[in-house]
Amino acid sequence: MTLAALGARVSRAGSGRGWPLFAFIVAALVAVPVLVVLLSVFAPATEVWSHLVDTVLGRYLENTFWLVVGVGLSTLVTGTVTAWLVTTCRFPGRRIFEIALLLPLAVPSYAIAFTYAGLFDFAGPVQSGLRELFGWSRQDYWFPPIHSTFGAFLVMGLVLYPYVYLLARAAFLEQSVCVLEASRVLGRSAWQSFVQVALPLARPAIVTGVALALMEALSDFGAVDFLAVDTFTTGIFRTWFGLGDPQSAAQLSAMLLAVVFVILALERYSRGQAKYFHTTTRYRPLPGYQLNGWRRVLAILACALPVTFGFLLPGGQLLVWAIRTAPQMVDASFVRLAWNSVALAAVAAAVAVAIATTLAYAARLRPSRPMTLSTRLASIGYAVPGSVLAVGVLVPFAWVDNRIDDWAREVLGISTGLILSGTLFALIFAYVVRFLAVSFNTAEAGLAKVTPSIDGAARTLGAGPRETLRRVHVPMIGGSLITAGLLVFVDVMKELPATLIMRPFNFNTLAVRAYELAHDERLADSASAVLAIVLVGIVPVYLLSRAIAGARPGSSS
Amino acid sequence: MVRARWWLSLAGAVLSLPLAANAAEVNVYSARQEALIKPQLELFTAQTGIKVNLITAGDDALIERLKSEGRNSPADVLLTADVGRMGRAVEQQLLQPIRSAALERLIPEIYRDPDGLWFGLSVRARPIFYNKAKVKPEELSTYDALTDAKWKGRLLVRSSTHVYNQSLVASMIAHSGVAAAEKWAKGFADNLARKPQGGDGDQLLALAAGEGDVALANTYYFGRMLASEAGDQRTVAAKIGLFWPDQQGRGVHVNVSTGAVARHAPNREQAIRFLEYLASDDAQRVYAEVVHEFPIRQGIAPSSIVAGFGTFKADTVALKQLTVHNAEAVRIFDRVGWR
Amino acid sequence: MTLAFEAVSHSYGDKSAVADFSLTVGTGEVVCLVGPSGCGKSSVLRLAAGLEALQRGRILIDGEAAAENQGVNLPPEARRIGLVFQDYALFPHLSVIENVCFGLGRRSGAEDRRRATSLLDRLGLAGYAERYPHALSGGEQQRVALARALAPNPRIMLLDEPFSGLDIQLRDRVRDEALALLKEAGSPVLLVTHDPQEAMRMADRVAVMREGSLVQVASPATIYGRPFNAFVAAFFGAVNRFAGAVTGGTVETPIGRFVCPPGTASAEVVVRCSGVTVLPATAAIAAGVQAQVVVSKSVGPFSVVDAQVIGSEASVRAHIPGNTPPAPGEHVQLSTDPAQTFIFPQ
Repeated sequence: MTLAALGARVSRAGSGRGWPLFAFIVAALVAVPVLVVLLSVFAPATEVWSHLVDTVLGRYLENTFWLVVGVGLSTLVTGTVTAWLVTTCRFPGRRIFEIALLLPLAVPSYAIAFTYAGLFDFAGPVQSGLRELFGWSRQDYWFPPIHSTFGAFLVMGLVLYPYVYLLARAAFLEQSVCVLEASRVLGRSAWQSFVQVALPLARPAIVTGVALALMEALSDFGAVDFLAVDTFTTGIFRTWFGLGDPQSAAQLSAMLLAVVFVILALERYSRGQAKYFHTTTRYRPLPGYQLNGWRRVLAILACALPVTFGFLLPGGQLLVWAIRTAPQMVDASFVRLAWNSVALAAVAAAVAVAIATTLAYAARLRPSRPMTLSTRLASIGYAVPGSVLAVGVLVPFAWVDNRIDDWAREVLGISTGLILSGTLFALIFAYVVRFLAVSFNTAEAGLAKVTPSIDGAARTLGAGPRETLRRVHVPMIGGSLITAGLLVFVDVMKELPATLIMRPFNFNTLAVRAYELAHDERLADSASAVLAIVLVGIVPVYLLSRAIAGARPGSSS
Repeated sequence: MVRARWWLSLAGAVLSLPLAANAAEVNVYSARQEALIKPQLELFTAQTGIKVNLITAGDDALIERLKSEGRNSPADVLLTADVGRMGRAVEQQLLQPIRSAALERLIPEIYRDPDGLWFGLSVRARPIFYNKAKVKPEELSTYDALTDAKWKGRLLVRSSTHVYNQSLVASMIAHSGVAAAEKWAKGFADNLARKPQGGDGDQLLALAAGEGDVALANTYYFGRMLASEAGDQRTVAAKIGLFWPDQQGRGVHVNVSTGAVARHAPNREQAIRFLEYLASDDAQRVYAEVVHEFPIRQGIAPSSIVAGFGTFKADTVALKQLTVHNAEAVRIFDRVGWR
Repeated sequence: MTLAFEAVSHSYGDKSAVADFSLTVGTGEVVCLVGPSGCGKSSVLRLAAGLEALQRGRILIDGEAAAENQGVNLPPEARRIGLVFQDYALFPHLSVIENVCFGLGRRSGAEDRRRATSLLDRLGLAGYAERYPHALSGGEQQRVALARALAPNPRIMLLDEPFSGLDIQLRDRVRDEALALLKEAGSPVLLVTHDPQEAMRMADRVAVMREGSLVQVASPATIYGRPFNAFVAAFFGAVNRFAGAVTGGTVETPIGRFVCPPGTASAEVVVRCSGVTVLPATAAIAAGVQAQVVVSKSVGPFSVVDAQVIGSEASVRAHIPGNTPPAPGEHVQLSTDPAQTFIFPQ
């Protein structure tokens, strides 16, 4: 066995002991809310459960199944094809599409859902216009119903495909041209090279992207609620609050998590199958197939469609609304809202990246089963519906606060009240629980590309684990960490349920403002706040695009 | 390094928390949106000098938060959009009974809890709306009549996940039992023009556009449409008629927004004063004028728009019944396939 | 300065990698650890570096325990050792000079930079200080890795297959440069390689490993001239191996009869291919064996001849000088050089 191969075990020795312990504790803490949800599984099933089975569970399962299939396929195809086109082909507008294709990421899924519902339902301008134009009445025509599973996966696919695009593009950029050239020399066409070489090489990245999109789709409440599709997530809400049975609701959540575990296992499997270290260190500019004629038209169309329907159309509708309502809706307090949103998102992103890096590095230092399990649990919060997770965070925080208070009353004769509950600390913790998967997967993937002998080299040169992380890994995977941070930032900007329920008194954000107005069926009034979320989100999205382009090995010098 | 920053951010976050429980403060957990309640809070502070700290969220979420916080909860007042959810807070012993001469004098008995656990604050009715071009008011009579086969494919309503529909069916359970309520829900669901979707305002839009002929919705949304500065909203409203059902019988169903004092309220006095304020003439006028609701009390004139709806006989079923039958109502919806 | 292993054993799960391994490398000494793939030699290096936690035994650096059973276990950064990796493991985000200065402390001052620069000069990398690793050739990367490992004046140097990534011409030159530099530094050097020629060429002593255990530790001359067993003999050059029963103090093989030490029942005779002499069938030699050439081929410096012994199934391979070997079919006479013939009792 060569040293490098053995090195896959990385260092098990030495002073790394305190580090994994710390990481393990952090991971365990982050996993607590998910465990709170999961533990309910062991409670006996209530009679509500049989009611669910008899009445609605079948529908939840069916809708959720189609949602997963639809979002999975649409994000897979859209994300991969557009990433390939802008990375390796040359056609007019390619450079603009490179960035524009990421823009839907900044649009909250509930916002695209209500703009689409507003535009395309029976009373909306599109159908009204058609009726007027052709003199139709209700019975005379069929229009694809937007309030349907089809509508739900359509709009969700439109805002979730950028996850796949993002990761696939990064993967295509990292591929060595030599491999593609080898394929061409062996008689494959450009298209065949894509299918037979580039695609399999990028598979782990693509699968990760699809897994993220699916987790987000599964945990989504806002969009499916607006589009009147009953999924597991809406079912959980109804069971919890409508039927007043948190236990059955939690059991439904656990079923949902089981689905997620399957998705994650597939993702792991896919990644594990392909431990490619790149076989060559030489990079040249990517080939850049010049597209002409109908190919060029097709490529432009393929890139323009998702941007149009995922960003321009909903953005345009929001803009029209906002122009009308902004004079009443935007005042001095609006700046405060925007600042709260940005500050919260920035802090949460920094914390999530720091924790993700710590966990990923600790898992690298001392791989062990408890470590693996706790990082898996810690990063599963992404798929848990926001409100359920928020309750999962509320409960343990309040419990700890109350125990401290009990103790203080007994021993010191004073009341400490709630120290952490209802603070921004608790809220940021909730964000970390929710979005750790995004940052952890990115950081872990970044670290995986660093060969183990790099660790050994730094350690034998006298750098301890922490110094090695700081001086070697962090600079080496800086691009990945920035990507992770920006993704979390954008997600926190859009996040709603946890923000709503966990925020301190008198603390509002853009998302809260947008939700309250939309919930009161004042969609036009909510447009300014939503648009502000989108606009703030565009900045990191642009930076993301730059970070990926700059990540190409050797491109910096 | 990373760890040091982590602790710094922790300290920052903890220090940034607003120091609750000052002398002249009241902490409100509100399921009514900030935009709806803000005018009330500002007026209250102006009148009393008591500062109001506000968190808004869904009623269920607020109840969960209250429950988890336990005896150290900073919450003084809980406000909900409909009484249906107050039952959950009562069940979990999150409220405390209040004796207030003012509240008892101002709020009619049917609109408050017999034990003083919660108080009704404003009323929105849930009548029948119809497309004037397609339905004559003479064709309408009661909620029950909408289950007739002649309405097949013509009814519009929102999802049963919303508490407004749950309270409606809960009132039917209270009046005529589970079987009758289920029969009604089944008959109604069978006559739907489309699967339940959107909010109450969306039902009115669909009604005006002709997707259905008759809708159940809350007067608040209709009032807002009529008052809108946007011309298209008023055009929509002009196509819609309002019909008060069951005027010969039990009366039209009403949604009552409610307030309560939290069990462990640190500012109990201020909380009671806040509820008393919400029942006062000034506050009731705000409900009437700004948010197009009916005052909870006789003697306060509704807004001109709301007055235009005409007078009606409201269902007098004890509100407490709605809280009791809430969960059963949800089961009925599940059974009849009204999503 | 010394590096010592005392009865070190290590296993991965239930698979033993190193068993009862004891070895001392002295000041200024270069010891090459050789053995086939999977023999555990890399594990020994990782244990010395502290990249693997010691399970049993003791590792001493300068007489101090660096790792001892479940007791002391200095982390790699505390051992002050230099390690050169097979894949060099240069930090891609740092320039050449920054790579070399990495081990010289957090803030490398002018003094450190001077030292790093002079090391680079010595290794023929004078103009490369500001370049980044991806812009270097394999040989250049290898030399940077060596400079980086040497820069902090390590107490011992460990090298893992350091030259295997280089092409042959480059390998010889880099190897000589490296050896000179290592000798000059004077720390004990433990070098792992699978290439016996490289080991012979660089080592003061060669340590041969097989299946986790040391088989023989000796100077290159001894290893080659007096191998401990057939495995060692075969590892350092092509051989012919014949086994047979001992009768009357001798063992009979197709290539002749050999005297065995007293008391052996059976023995294996190992004859280096270079120790087989091929003469025309007509030459009169007492101990000669008649054979017929089956295959013959010149490989440049010498020729390879496979011949079948007449009256036997056995085939014998000989490496003979010159590039005009006897043609296939030709009858020849084979004899053996006693200095290259080893008899191991079985």
